[in-house]
Amino acid sequence: MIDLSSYNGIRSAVFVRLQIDEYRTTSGGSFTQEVLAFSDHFQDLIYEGDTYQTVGTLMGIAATSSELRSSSDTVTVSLSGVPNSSIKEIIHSRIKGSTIEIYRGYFDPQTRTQIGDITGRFKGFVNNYSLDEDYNIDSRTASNTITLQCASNIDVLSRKTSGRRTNPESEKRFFPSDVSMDRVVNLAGTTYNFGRKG
Amino acid sequence: MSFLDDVVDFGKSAISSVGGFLGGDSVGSGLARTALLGYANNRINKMINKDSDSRPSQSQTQAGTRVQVNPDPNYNVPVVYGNAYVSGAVTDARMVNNKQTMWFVLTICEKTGNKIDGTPSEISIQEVYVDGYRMVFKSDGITADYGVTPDGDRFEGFDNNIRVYPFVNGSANPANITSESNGNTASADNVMPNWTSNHTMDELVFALVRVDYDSPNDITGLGEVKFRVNNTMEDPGDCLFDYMTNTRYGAGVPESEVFSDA
Repeated sequence: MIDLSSYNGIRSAVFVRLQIDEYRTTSGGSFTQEVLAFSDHFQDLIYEGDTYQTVGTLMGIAATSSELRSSSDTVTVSLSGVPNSSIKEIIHSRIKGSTIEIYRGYFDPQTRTQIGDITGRFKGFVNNYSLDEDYNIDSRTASNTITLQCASNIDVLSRKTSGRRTNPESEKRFFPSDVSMDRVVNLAGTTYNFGRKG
Repeated sequence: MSFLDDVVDFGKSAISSVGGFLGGDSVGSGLARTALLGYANNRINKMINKDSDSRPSQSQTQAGTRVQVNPDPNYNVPVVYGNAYVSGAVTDARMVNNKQTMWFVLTICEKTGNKIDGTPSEISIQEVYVDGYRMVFKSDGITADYGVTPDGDRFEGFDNNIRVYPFVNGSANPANITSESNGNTASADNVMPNWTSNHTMDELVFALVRVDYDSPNDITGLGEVKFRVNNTMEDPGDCLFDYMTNTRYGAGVPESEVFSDA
């Protein structure tokens, strides 16, 4: 617990670490793992090996509720000012399912020094994302806002994967070359005249 | 003139060719014709019956039993930790041997992953029950000898009529029923008719069950089959870890996200 009682004022900053396992910049390129780290802090900050780039007010995080126990809360992270040239990276990468971690840090606004440790606030996965274009008619340029809808690990646990079912589609989703379940649908209702002679 | 008159005329003409008295119209000749036709009819019936005796015997013709296979495409393959009785779901069936043998594929459960300490979990089939009878196998560990109830009552009708081939991790991993020292050693595609190397049943525990038709012993279908399954993964921590991290039937949480050192 950070003791803030001796400070006249504090400033908090939020740090977002988005790990995209299948990241690429072109439609035919190979996937690589990419970590995007950014914050609304006034300067870049290195935390656990990642450099959190400052994007200031271009980043927004929806309000979340704090609870004593783990809850299945969701968080919406928006990042504005994405240039058109970067859109293809977002479209061609598989952002859904990426892991996202959100941390919070406290700073002294006068000395700009960090108070205590950076603490975790949210861990989860990108559930969905959307892109909104903001077109400037005067300058005839556009910037975009990407909004990430994130589900916490608790939420993912409660919606565990449905598992394997005994039909060819489900089997091939996990093992594409296995044909063991291919006859299940056709077998339904099939009658065998078992034991008939003559 | 009805067809009955034609029949009478035919009778008259047939008899008249034999002799003059029988071909006449008197009452006596009519009675004589009737008696003679009756005798001829009796002889013909005997001949027909004699022919029927030379047909295949009753034991060679068998009506059989209509067996309907109803696999459920939405059956969720269960995950078994510790010890449990599982029925399994029919996912394939074949009838061979001139309709005298049926093969069934019963998908039992998922193959589970590693424990927290990294050792693989092992699943075994400890017992097989058919229609409430625990199966006792012959020395090959595959062929049923007889069935026995919890009260000790024996049913001999399973003898040679049911064979069970368990597999504990896909088609390439045959296994013994735990209580048997012998068992199947062939891969599933070498046992199940019409199966090829593409029938892999990856990461599944399943059994091939062969049923040979035996109407007198009431073996006319698969019956209600249950397997007693044992998984060495039984400690709560291991089970929770497996369930949380498995990407097929669990939550798919990365292992690095699960603090498991405590």
